[in-house]
Amino acid sequence: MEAIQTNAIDAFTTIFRRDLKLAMRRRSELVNPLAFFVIVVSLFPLGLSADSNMLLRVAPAVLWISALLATMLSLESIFRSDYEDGSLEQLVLSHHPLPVIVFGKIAAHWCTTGLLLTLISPALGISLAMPTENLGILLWTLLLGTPTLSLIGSIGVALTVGLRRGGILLALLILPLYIPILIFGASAVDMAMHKLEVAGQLYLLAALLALSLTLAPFAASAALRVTLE
Amino acid sequence: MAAQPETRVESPRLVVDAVKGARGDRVLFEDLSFALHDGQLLHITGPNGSGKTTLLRVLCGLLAPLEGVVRWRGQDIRSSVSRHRLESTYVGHRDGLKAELTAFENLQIVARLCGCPDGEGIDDSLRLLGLWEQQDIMVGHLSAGQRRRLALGRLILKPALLWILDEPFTAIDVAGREIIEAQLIRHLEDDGIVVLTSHQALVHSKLRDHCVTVSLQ
Repeated sequence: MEAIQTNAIDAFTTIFRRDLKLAMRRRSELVNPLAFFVIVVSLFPLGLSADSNMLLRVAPAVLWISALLATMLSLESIFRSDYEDGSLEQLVLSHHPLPVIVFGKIAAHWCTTGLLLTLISPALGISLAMPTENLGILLWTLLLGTPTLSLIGSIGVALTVGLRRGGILLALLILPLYIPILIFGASAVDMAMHKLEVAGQLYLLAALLALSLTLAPFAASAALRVTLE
Repeated sequence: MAAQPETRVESPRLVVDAVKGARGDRVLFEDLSFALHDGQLLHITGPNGSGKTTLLRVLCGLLAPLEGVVRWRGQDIRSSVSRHRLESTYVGHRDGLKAELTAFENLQIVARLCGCPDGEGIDDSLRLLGLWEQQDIMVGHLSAGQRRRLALGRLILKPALLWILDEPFTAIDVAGREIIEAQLIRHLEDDGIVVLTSHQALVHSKLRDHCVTVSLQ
C-alpha cells in the first residue's frame, strides 16, 4: 500500500495535462468560443453603422460582454463529459483532495478559453477602432478577469451538470455573479481611453481573482459531491 | 504498521449496519446489515431497480445512506474518508474512460492518479486484459466489451483491498469473463474483498466458495 501516496501537485498536473490533451483532441470545443467571440464582436460594426466614434464608445463594453458570453458558453465543458462518461465519479472517489483536482480542471479550462480569448482581443479591439495605446489595458483586464470567470463558472457548472437541460439555469446562476467583473473590466478600458487612472480597477479585478482562486475550487467540489449523490 | 501477533483479528473489515437507501423518494432497501471479512466476495442480486447500484454507491461513499452507517476497519466511511478511498476501487456502471484518449493514455491517467509508477504496470495490465494490440486506439473506437475490460484495468493498476464492481461482466465475452474471474480469484486468495452485482451466476467454483449473497427485493 505504500506506493500509493502521491502528492497533490502530481494530481494537479495529471488532471491539468489530461484536460489540455482532451481539449486539443476536441478541436471544435477549442475553436467554438473563439469563433463566437469574433463573430459577436464583428456584428457590432455591422449593426451600429461604421461611425468610428460610436464604435469607440461601446468598444470596451462590447469586448467584455462578448468575452463573458463566450466563456459562459464554454463552461459546461469543464465537467459535462466527465459527468457523462463516469470519469467524474472516479475523480471524486480518488484519494486526492477534490479541490486540487477541480482546480486542475479549471486551470485547463482557462488556458483553452479565457487565455485564448485574451490573446485575440487586441485584434478585435482594432476592428472596433480602439486606439493601439489602449490595447495593453484591454489585455490586462481580460488577463485578470477571465480566470475569475472560469473559477466562478465552475461552481455553477458543478451545480447544474446533473440536470439534463442545465444551460439556461447556468446562465441565470452565473451571469449575476459576473456583473462585478464586467463593471470593473469594462470601466477600466473605458477610463484608459479617456486617459484616466485605472490602477484601482485593476487592483479590484486582482482582488476578485484572489478571492475566487481561494474559494471557488472548494465551493465547486462541494457542489460536485452533491450533484453526484 | 508495527508487528502484530498473527492472531487473525476476527472483526470484519467492512460492516454495513442498518443501512437505508433510496433513489429520489423511493426507499429501495431498509435495515440492511451484513459484514465482510478478508477474502470474501459479496454477490448482490435482485431484479432491475431493486437498488443494487444504489447500494454500491453507498458502499463506495458516493452516496450517503439515509440511515445507518457503513464502516471500513471500524470507522464510518463518511467521517474517515481517506483510508477507505485509498483502499477501495470502484468500477461503476459507466466506464469512466475518455473516448478521445487511447487505451494506454487512459490507463496512464489511472496509474498517475493512484500514484503507481508509470511504465510496466500499464503494459502488464494491457497484456492481461487482452488489449495489447489496441493500446494506441482511441477508446471511442473500441467495442463496448473492450471498453469494459479497460475499465476493469484500474483494478489491476491500483493496489486496493476492496473492489466494488457494478455489473463487471456486461458486454464482455467468454474469454474476457475468464480473465476477470481469474483476477477476482487471485484477489480473494490475497485476502482481498470483492463486492459485485451481476445478473449472471458466478461460473467459477472457487469464486462460489468465497461467495456470500445478498438479495434485494
